[in-house]
Amino acid sequence: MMVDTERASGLTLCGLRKTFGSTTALAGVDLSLQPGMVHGLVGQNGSGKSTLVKILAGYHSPDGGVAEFGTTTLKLPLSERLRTELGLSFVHQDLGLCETFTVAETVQLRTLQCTRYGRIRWSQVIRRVDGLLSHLGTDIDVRAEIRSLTPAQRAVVAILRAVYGQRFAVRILVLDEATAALGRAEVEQLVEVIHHLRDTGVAILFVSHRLEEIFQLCDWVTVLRDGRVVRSASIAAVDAEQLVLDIVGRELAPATSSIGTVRPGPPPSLLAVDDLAGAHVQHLSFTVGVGEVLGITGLSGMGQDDVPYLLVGATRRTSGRVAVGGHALGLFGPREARARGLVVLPAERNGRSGIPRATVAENVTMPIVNRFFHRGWLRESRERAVVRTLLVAHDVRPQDPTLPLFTLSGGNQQKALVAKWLEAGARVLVLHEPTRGVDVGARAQIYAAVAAASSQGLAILVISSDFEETARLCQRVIVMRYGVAVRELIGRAITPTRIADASYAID
Amino acid sequence: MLRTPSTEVTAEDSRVTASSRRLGLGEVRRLVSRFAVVIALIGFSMGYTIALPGSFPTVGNVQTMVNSQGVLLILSLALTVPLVAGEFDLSVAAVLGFVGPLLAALHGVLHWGAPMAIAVTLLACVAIGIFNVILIVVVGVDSFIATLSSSTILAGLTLYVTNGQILTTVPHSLQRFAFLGIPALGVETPALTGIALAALLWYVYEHTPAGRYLYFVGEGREAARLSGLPVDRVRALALISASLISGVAGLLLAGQLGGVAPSLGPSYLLPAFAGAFLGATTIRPGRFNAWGTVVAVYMLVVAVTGLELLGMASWVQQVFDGCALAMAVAFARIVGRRDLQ
Repeated sequence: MMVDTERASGLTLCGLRKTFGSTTALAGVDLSLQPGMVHGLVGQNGSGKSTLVKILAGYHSPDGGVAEFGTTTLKLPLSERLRTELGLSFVHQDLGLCETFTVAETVQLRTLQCTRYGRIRWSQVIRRVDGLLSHLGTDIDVRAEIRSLTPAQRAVVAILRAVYGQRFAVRILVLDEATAALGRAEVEQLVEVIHHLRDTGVAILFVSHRLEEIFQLCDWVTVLRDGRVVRSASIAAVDAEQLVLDIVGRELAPATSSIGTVRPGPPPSLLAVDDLAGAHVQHLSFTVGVGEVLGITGLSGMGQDDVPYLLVGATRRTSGRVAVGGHALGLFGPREARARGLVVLPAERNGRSGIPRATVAENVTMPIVNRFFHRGWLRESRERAVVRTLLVAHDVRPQDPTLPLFTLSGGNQQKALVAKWLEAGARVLVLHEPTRGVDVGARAQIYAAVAAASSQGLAILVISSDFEETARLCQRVIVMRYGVAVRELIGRAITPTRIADASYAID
Repeated sequence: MLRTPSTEVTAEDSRVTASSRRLGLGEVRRLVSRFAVVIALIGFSMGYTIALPGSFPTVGNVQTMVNSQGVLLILSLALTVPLVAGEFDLSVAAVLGFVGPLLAALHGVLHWGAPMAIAVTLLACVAIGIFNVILIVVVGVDSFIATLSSSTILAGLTLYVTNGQILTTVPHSLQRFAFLGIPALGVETPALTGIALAALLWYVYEHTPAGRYLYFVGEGREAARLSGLPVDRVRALALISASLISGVAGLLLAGQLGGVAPSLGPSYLLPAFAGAFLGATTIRPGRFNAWGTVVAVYMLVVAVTGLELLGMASWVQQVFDGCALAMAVAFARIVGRRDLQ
């Protein structure tokens, strides 16, 4: 089928339905992508967002529904040729960049200009990409290797490749959580690029978990819940509270009440860090007391992301002392730290904090499996019973210890891994970006789990670049800029705005 | 890091299974896929029994099949230890080929007593394991390349020790021991050792914390390290165990053959990998496991023996082993890809 792409306007999806077994992913969804408009798509994990994107990408075929392009009705899933004719291009969460390629190579890989003899015209390629970069107002060096770029610059390069690096003209750009790896401030660097593309007439579908991005970037927003559209409105007609209600479908638990209050006097210190230094951190000193939640935050790339790994010794520290309960840690790494009760829950859940293909029980009992080894035999039924009790206590769903970890949603995985360390007798829990890539509902539950852990007398350190999260969770906050602590906020003084001000060094 | 075959159940799969369980189909499908290799073993055995009633189901043939694969079984099982921990060990076959000549030379040329020669040979295996550990764990070389180099070194040393000749100075006590086994059943020591080793590894993998640690280190090394598990120690022990067990296999092979040629080792490499990888698709699909390896090794020998009895030339074995390995890793890839969705 040929599509008249000259006169046609936007792409509209009508009545999209898709079920997987007994689960309904999409129950009749309409979505319209118009040229010159950024359309935000929000919803919790499991609301149908990713199914919708995968149908657009031709990865799933829907059970029902059609696409309309102008007056033409297209059959779904779209064939590779139709996607090319429509000018459909994607940027996914994993940007898919090659670390050792230069910016120019990355952007133009699929459309390299060659001479008659097959030699690549590098000068032309570089000039063109450089032109694009300066046209979009970014200061990315066209000859820089991808590995030297900041996360925001990587995202810009991935978007440029998706739009200008195709063998066809791109009219519809799908950004599928492409900003998930970025701190809030970094997203701002993308705003200009995305709005520029919009103004040249590209229709953009922007899928994200974060409402602030939706408000910054989008003209229209559609909220999916349980496979249905619960709101589709101009961004000017909605406010954040409304959107959260639409996404969650119920009132969120009120902000955690047990934490956020300042206790009288400093609590006895459990973790004491003195003059810590590493590749991206200098002169960092702090203490965390019993039952205290300390936050370390800052713009992304300011060094705070190294702190958890420097503390437990997974990354070699160049200087500094770390003591847990008065015992100084040597240089024996995570093993020694764990023996003292200092543990870290890393940011990237897949592969660093949990083992996706191992069962939930195996993951949870990883540090304590010896407990179930009795008279030369691993007592698995007892292990499963203990884990099931833990899953119930931490409200992890489903409560089946024998499922592989990856079958749980991100929030439930995180809760199971918190349970793992609480059961293993952790005294100091370091959480690195505890809610990155987790939906709104699970986020509240993770916050509740943190509150519960601190009320049990754990010292908790939260490393997060989400200022709202930091303000909500922590009783004390250290703001880092370029590897050093620049501000400490305590108690009522902690607000997202103050953290942001300190991070940007506005005040 | 090594990609291991992955678990059977995916989110989508379990939903499908749940909905069709009412029909009992999902459950049947799951069981068939889990025991496919077992079913193939039974199927081949029954098919050949019907097709070749005079030559296949005889006591002599069954004994030959069981006993001829004892050494390979031990070697396949040795290989599963580093594979579970996420490391390749290409040197197991070279170790197997090296220990026989080394023992024969110590006994025949240097005239050492059998116990001393055997002890020193096994110590040499531990040393080879330590050499691998230094390259892989301490220096950080990829295990595939590191063990490729150590196996080439061993191949050269084997030629040096044998001087290119077949050595027939394997101690008589070892030869008698290799044929000991359980005479009443006609099972010789290598096959018996293989089964005993399978039982031991099954116990370690499934019922001890050590087995869990091996699996964690192989499946999620960074997570294991950050959780404070002794990752490098586990990797080192896995590699040294593999060398040591391969050495035992090599000694039994030398005892079985009586004379050792310098070219014995390499022909065992691919069948050993085929057994381990095919074994990982069955009994506990997605994990290298002991009984799966036993079933896989014997499924392969039954299938090939039957074909040979039907008149196929001996080239058929390599083709068959190669296909089995390709199928096993393809299966692991496909299931792994499904997991990622």
